[in-house]
Amino acid sequence: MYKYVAKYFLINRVYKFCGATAFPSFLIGLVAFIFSAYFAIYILPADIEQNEIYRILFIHVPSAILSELIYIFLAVNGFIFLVWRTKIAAIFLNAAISIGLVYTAIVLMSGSIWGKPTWGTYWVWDARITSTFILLIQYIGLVALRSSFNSRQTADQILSIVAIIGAVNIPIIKFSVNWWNTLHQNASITTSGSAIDSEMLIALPMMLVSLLFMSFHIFARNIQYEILNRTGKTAMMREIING
Amino acid sequence: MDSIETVIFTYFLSISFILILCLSSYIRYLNMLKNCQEDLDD
Repeated sequence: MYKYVAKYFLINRVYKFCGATAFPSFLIGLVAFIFSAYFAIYILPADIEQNEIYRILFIHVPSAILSELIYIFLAVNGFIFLVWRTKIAAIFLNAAISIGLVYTAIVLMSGSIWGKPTWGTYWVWDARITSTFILLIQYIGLVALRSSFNSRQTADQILSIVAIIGAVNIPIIKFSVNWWNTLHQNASITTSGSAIDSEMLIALPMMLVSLLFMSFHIFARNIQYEILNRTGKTAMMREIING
Repeated sequence: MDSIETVIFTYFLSISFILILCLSSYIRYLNMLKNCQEDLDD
């Protein structure tokens, strides 16, 4: 199983795949974002309680989903790197950190703007917001750690360990609204149904997909950077660059 | 504060963050590629 999967993740194959897909992914993502944003802002009807401001939901929720999923992705890759010493897992881990950082910043920024008219304040130290803020600190910590070691092997090991330990914050973020009394509302979409009207709901997956495509562009370019940075003046680099 | 302008501003700010990261990742990669090609030429 491992050998079967590993053959698709050879460094030069991954480099070529990223090179071929990065730009189309960016274009698709940008067009989809413009379409989704237009749909969310101008086509969907206003909410009966929150009027226009509820439209922030369509950027806030997909960013929140991605910020948490990316952290899980980091932890999984950290685990794979520590257990199997797979170089590509360390490359994936390093390549995804900055994307998670930006989405977490977007979640907090959009949530603050949304909070002012609905809660009467930009910020409150409730469980959901505080745990998301801790996630932001974790991402900043990973970015700082990445460049704090002379040895790349040591940096990858430390990053992996920190990413795995930090993953404990993800269920805390998810269930914070159930475990504690929070100003932040409970989940609108659960396994038993959605509190959001189906007409409005469609913009959420549209925005999520558009952000995924744009994130892939960043991820692919970061992977290519990491591969070039790690191969040094080797025959593999010659092979990678010359195709 | 609860106007459509605030919503548009939030979307604009969010996409700006993402586009800046897209651009910086691409420039960082291009610089690294250029350095590697110079190294190989040497």
